[in-house]
Amino acid sequence: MPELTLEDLWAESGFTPNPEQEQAIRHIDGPLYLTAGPGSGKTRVLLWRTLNLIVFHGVKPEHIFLSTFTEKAAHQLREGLKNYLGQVTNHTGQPYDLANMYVGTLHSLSQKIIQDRNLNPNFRNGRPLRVMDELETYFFVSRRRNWQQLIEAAELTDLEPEVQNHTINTFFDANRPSRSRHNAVQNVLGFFGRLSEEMIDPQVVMDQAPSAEVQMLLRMYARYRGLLAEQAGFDYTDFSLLQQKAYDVVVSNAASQQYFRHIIIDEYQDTNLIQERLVFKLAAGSQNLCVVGDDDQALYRFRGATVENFVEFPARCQHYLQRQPVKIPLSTNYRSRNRVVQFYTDYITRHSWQKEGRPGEFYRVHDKNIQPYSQDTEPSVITTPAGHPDDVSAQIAALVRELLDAGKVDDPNQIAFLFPALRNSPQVNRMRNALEAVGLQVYAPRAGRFLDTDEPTLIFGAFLHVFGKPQQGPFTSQDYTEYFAWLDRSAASVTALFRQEPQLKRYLDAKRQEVAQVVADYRALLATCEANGWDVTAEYAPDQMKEALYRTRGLSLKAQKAINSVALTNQVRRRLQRNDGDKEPFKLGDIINRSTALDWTILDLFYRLGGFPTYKRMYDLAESGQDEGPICNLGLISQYLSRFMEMYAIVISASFLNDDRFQRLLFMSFLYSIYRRSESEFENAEDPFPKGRIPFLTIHQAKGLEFPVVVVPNLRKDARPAGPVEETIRALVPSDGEPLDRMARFDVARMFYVALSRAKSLMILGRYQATGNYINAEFRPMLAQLPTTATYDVNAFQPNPHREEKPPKAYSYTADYLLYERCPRQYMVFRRYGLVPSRSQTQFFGSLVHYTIEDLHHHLIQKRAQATLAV
Amino acid sequence: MIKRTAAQIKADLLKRDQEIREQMRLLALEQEASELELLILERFERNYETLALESGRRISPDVKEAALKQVLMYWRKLPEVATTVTQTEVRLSLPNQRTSTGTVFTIEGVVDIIRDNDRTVMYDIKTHDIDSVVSNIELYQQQLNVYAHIWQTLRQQELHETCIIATAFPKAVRDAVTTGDDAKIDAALASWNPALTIPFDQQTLEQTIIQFTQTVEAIEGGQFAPPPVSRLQERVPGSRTLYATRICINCDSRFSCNAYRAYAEGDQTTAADEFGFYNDYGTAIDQSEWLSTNLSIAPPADIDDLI
Ligand code: SF4
Repeated sequence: MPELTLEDLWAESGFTPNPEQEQAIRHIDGPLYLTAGPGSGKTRVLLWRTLNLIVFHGVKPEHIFLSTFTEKAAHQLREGLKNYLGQVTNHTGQPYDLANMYVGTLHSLSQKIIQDRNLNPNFRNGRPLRVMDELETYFFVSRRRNWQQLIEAAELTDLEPEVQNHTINTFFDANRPSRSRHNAVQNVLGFFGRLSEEMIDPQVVMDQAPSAEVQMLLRMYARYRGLLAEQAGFDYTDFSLLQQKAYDVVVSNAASQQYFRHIIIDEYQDTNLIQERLVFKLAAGSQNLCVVGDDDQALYRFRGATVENFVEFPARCQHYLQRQPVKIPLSTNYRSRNRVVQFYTDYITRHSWQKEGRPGEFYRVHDKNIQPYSQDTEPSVITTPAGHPDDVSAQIAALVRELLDAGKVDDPNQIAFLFPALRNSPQVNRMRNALEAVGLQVYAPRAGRFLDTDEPTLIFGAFLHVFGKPQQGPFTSQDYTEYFAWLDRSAASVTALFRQEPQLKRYLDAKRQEVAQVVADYRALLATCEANGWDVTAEYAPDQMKEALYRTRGLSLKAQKAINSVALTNQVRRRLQRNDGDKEPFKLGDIINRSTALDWTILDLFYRLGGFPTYKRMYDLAESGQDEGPICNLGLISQYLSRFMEMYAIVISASFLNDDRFQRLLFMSFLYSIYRRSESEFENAEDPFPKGRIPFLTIHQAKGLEFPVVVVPNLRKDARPAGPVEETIRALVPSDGEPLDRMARFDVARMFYVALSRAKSLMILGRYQATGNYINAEFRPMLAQLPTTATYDVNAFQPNPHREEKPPKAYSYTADYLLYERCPRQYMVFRRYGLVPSRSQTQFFGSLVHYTIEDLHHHLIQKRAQATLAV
Repeated sequence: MIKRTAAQIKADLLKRDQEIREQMRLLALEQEASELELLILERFERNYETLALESGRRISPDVKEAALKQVLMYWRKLPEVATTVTQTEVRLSLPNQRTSTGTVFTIEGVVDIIRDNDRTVMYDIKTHDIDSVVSNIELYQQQLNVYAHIWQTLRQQELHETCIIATAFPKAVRDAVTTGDDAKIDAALASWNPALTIPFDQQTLEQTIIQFTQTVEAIEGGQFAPPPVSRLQERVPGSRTLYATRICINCDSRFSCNAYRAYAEGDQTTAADEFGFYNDYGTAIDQSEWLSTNLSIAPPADIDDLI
């Protein structure tokens, strides 16, 4: 049999790389610098390059470090790789095992490094690592006890709490400093994150601090890190410090710098300082560092990303590795039609990227020479006539309606509206109204608070009926008042259903009654204990106590049954005889808790609401394929509820309900925080978007996505000055990065570049011209030359014929086929829309068991191999 | 005083020595076993964290504990399988399948392989119990057929046996556990065999692949209607329970499900109470178990600290 070649595999999967792509795929030695323009097929290049390394150059998967910007992208890469490697195996019989390959975000890979014995032999000697995500970090710092410590470090204890907050917030927003603790927490956390990413040691820079305020914040930061270190049980860390920990591991252990033979970093333009240091350390041995990215699409400065990492990569390579990388530009755009490509290329070069006083040097990789693959000359970028935003919106809506009516696109979800920001934007509301006026529905998960949308309002409205509404305190802050208004609205939205759905009212009343009953039982039982002089923390002695508890006056039948139940009696006996593992005998309080706990959890209640018409419709719409929006929101609500249970408690016991403790924790801590943080949907937008609706996205959300039709109604975004955080960072760690006064303009240019490069076949631009409404200067001459919507004939619409062949989707025999065969609807709810099951948690459960058994097998196989070797 | 001969003493010493050795061997085995259990614990926690990070969700502590139990029991019951596995997590894929609309997809499965001298056995580990495997044997047969096909035809490897390991406790063990009687539990555990050989033949392969393709088409086409209510009223093949009381009862979305609602309306047991339909949280035993595991996590004591 002739040797298998890359060409064979390409032929088999219908891929014909262009010369640059091929060069990049075949490059295997030394640092590699891939500048990848929009739609240039970089994911495929990454996939095939990795495959080439594994299959044709004998690199073991576990010696490849491949990082992506999101977990989802990592997942897709892994799936694609598995698929192609599966093809190889079928030819050669040689199996490949990706289980130990490093594929993921730099965050998750940092965690893996820390926990990998090959890289960190000392891992087991310390406390287990506990990584807090953003929401958890927020809850951690805003706990009163912890916050108080930060206030002490800030030396603000003498002030009134509101004044403390005000003092802190003044640094971040001198014009309108708020008095709220929530804002102060958010502000300092943002700052802490930047300090961590810049690897700033507070003690070291203290003397360089430009002001007393900065010193104060540095002390708070030091205290924060102290607090993390002091936590019992686990080694706590937040996302930013996690990378520092990984870096420390790699630095302190020279072998780990030799471990990876190839390091591949995607979206390198969005990495920050600590990440740069980490990847160069990992590449210290092999020098095989490949970075892929596009500086023109750098979007994440606000998260500490420094685009210079990418732009200056050759110089950094020289510095860290003492050699220059090979540079390969991936410059053919397959995604978009000719005119679209010309338009955004023109746009980006209208800005000046020159470095002052250094001719020939740029803050941009300036020699990209992006070329469209499509050569058609038909109009594919059009604008509305210049006018008032209302007219512009109406024109756009009419054209979109026409495109849909003429069947030019399959579904409204193929037409994306991109905005610089969605929240509190009058332009967004205008556009939404205009579309709704022509009968089109919008899916805008970031347009407002998630909690303000219909589904959470109705679900939590029902919860309010069951658990009661918290007391409104004498506070007047805007957040607080708005939140209570939301609570009222939510409760009222459910009350409004009662006339139509009396059964819903009876059900919620019954649940409310249950809550009241267990609390009453609880108090009654406590009274019995008190009367008998029993301490609830004492061991439960059924012979003396059971009868009295059972006979407690006014005790409900249900509690009586529970106290008397055979199951409980047996269990109590077993524990008393120490027959139940190492579990302690029950305390009196345990028995009371057990007898007065609700039968159901908040997730149980959530699913039961689905039985009532208004809620049921949310499921029905998805089942019939009419509208996926509501069920997507239900998915997110279920995730929040599950998170609450995981953070605090699963069972709602009466002691938890007593004195409104549960109610306050749910509504005044958990949901209120989510409300104030304006938590919205998932980090990365789901793709494809719900059918039947037009997606309204922020440009950030659209990163990496493409759509047949893209609309950018509002081409205005003002460049804001750099702000106190960036100024401070510069003062603490001087750098020759982009000048603070030009940064913001660069960022605006990059943002619109991302927006303009998403369209495959047609891009529609709004042209505002009215008092107070205008478009950014660079666009004015450009738009003047475009054909307008007034003359555009939808029949001329041509889809871009080039289809980027996506790696085929993998369907698992068990997780897809068998699950669907068992019940299609169950498959839809849990696998497709990701609702978190309340009690049956089959999928997670299955993976957990499987992975662990695999690890066990893996370990035993390796051990045997070692034993054979020793013999 | 009885004088022992040198030979006797020597023999005794030898015997003692052997005993000690045997004990040490057992101890070493035990130690190894417990080391492995430690390893299981550690990997289990790590996998849990990774899964939580990847999926953005977690499972409740009781479910987590049940998962750990399954892995530990698998190890204790079938150490001979675990210690002889030659390849783990073998990913089998059947690429280049095509739906009628031209979507290309891959069929995937994961198995473990044991190659022992001249025999190759393929294992598929399931987290259900063996009873449910037996009752749906056809599905599993089809599945292993596809896997065997990939292994034998595409990969040109030999195969002598296909086998399913079902790691969930069977009903007999669960029943024994509820009695709380240790002897009964031990007996049930001892007579439980989690492994089941499944014969494979290539006759039904084509049919299976056609069915698989139709399923992919249905998923991509958004067909998500529940089965007809008549199916809910049928027994799950080979078992005594109905589809509704076995599958739907574990489905949290049953309350909003037309099929299940239609089934429940015809069911007399809930008629007495207006909300009987909603007030079903499993059997009294399930509920009691659930309470015992979950109540151990006390809610936060100081709520004000958190507000
Ligand atoms: S209740 Fe669940 S499993 Fe049963 S038919 Fe409905 S969706 Fe399917």
